Amino acid sequence: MPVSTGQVGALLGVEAVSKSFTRLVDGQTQGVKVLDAIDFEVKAGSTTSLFGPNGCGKTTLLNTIAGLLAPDAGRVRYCGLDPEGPRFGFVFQNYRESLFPWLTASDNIAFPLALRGVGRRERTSRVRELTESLEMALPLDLYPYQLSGGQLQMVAIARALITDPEILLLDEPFSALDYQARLQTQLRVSGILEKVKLTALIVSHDPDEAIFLADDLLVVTNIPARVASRIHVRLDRPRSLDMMESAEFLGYRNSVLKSFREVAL
Amino acid sequence: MRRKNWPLGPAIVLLAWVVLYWGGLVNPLLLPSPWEVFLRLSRGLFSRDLLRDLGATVYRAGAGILLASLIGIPLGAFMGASQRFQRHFGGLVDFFRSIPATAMLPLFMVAFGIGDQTRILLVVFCTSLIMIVNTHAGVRNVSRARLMAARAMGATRWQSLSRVAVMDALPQVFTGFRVSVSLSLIIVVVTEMLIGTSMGLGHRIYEAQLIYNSVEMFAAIILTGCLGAGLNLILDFVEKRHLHWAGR
Repeated sequence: MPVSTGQVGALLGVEAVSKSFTRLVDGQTQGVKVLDAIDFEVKAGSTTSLFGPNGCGKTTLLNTIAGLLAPDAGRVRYCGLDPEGPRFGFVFQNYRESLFPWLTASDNIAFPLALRGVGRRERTSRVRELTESLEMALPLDLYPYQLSGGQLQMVAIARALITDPEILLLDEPFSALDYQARLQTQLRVSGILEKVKLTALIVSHDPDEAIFLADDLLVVTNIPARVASRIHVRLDRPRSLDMMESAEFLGYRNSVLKSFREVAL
Repeated sequence: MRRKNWPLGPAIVLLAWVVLYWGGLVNPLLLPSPWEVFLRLSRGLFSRDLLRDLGATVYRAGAGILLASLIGIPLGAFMGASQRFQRHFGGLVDFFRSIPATAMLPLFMVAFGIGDQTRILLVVFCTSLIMIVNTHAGVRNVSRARLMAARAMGATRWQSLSRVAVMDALPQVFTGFRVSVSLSLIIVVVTEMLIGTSMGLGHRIYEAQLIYNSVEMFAAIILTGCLGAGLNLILDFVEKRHLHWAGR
């Protein structure tokens, strides 16, 4: 039961979450603090970008939010989400690695359904419904090696959406694409998020992409990662690529880069 | 329409054979008449005696491969999934794999007699080890990103193994299977020469040699070659059809 979307207020609260990993250095285990009292809220139906230097523990943060990792301190609070455990959709960093080469595009998208024991016939019809409603003109019968990077990314996103998630987590979703495909895919994804009014959390290395998709943008420091600043992005919706040339956009860009320079360089 | 481009190699070999034979350049005991060999082959296939030998060899190799797959693939997968199992048994597998099949034959004869079961069990012994090693390598090299993705999508441990690890390892498992098929042919043909049977291509080749019947020997050798090449074609077809995505 999708209880969540459309509700006002915080959907997800990350409250002082800390996480350390032990690492082996010269035969001795050392604790490395990755997340340091991370604190922020995500509003229902909004998109939050996490922007920060490479290796700053953003993937760890996503995994903690999704419940794949337990925080050492602090907690993740979910408001009004499925009491059986909130439903997450994942879009992984490397779609070439995370998609299954032995499955057709259609079967890749339906994979999470197959894990839940949904029958073949229903899987096929749900895949068709979803891709049609999102106007993804995908060749569903082809295998990943026969698709372009942009198409593969659409398959990965459709796969994340097929289970009707309450929160979509995207981990550097565009990093493997060339610039042209990246711009196109950003536009498509922001369109999809606007359409399904899904709460989304995006980890990004690219300031333009982080701003373009975001309602809220968090600049994260080097490890141990803290939230350095929070920028509310008030660009109109639906977003369009020409907004990236606007003075307003450049203003956001400047403040993001300033904050980034202070914490990362 | 383009003319079909037949490979030249076989024609050249056949031509050389014809020239060498009719030129009287080689002792006919070493190189019999190609025509007579051809006649013997077709007679053998129609009168069923060579066909029966072929059937016996295929049955022995096939039964061995089937049993070896049932044992080797699950064990290899388990070894790839469990570090502890690998630590305790990996060395043992490598040790037994290094022993040539023929070195185990006398022991197997003592243990299982001189019937078909000895041949089949020897095939099982050798090829299941190959399948363990290849399946293990395949499962161990399964993409961690894919396993992570499956887990994040809610896959249970069993689903991660059966739907992701096994599929990711499949091309390597198939490689093990292919190697096993050719090895099983070698083992079966050799043991047909060495231990008692009245059927089988190895038996036919050996008997023909004993009575200096090189026409029959050549016919049986060619038939053995066709069997190997035919199996290879089938495996190629299966690979193109079902594993076309491998490594891409």
